Amino acid sequence: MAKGESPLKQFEIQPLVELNLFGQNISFTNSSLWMTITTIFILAFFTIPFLKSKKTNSVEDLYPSRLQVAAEMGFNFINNLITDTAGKEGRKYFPLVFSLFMFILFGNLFGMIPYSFTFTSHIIVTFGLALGVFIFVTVLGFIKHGLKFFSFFVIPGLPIYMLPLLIPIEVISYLSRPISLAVRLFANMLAGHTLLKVFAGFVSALGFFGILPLVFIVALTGLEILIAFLQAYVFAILTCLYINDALHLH
Amino acid sequence: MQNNEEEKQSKNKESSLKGLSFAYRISSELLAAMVVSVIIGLTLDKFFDSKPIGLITLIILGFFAGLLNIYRLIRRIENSK
Repeated sequence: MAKGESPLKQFEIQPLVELNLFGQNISFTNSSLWMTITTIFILAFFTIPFLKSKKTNSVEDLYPSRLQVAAEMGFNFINNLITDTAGKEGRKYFPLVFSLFMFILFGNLFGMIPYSFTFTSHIIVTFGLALGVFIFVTVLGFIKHGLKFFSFFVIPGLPIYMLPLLIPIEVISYLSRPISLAVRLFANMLAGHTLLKVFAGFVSALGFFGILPLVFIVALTGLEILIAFLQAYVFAILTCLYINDALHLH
Repeated sequence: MQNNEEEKQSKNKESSLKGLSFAYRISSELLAAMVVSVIIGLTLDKFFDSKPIGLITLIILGFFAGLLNIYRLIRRIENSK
């Protein structure tokens, strides 16, 4: 980091290709670049190992390659997650949860590469994802239950005079889902990356004693990679829970 | 002996990480409920021209909604133990 640069500079959006459509700025930015890289990487990660195994007919083909095992591990992980939280009916929505998980996971992990850009550290990206989940779950609830979906906001076995107070609370609690989902991922990523940069600034400022923050940064990088995984996992598990709520109501 | 110590340390690290993610979750739940209720309150006030009343009621309701979210989160974690 050059002297005088703010630790927040890493989050700046820079247009790479200027584009305009009907007066709207739709430039291809560094954020879009890293989203594209993430998507292409995920596609490659899940197609290459399976393309290779079809070429010959030798015995070795019966053993999965390392890449294939890694891809299947990811598949199994989310598969178990959905079956555990949303039951068998939830398995239908596997593609949604899986692509969300992979996109966020690799977005977070690619953000850990120096000089790259972490698109999940922008609240509009995480909020867009969370809002997509929210709309999907609400529509799913209405499709499955029709107008009975509104009974989701009524806790069964409650005295009737409590309803005017508790229904607004339940509605607010329901509406707060996408925001809490978005804020959690965004705050984790923003805080972690800012902290890394702040401590990186200490290294050059302290001279010889800069070795102390340097050691800390190494530890912090490990922690950040763990958080990158953890946040993708939390996003996926909450999506599963919301799907479960929409399918079963209470 | 050393092995044991290391195991202990990694376990400690894990539980503090869990605590950190737990804290993030709780704070984001509380914050999100507040944000939603403030937005609803301000829009209601704009609609009915009743400046502070809607905001105040919705903030109180939003606080309870946040607590409800946290209560559900904790209950879910307790159940899964």
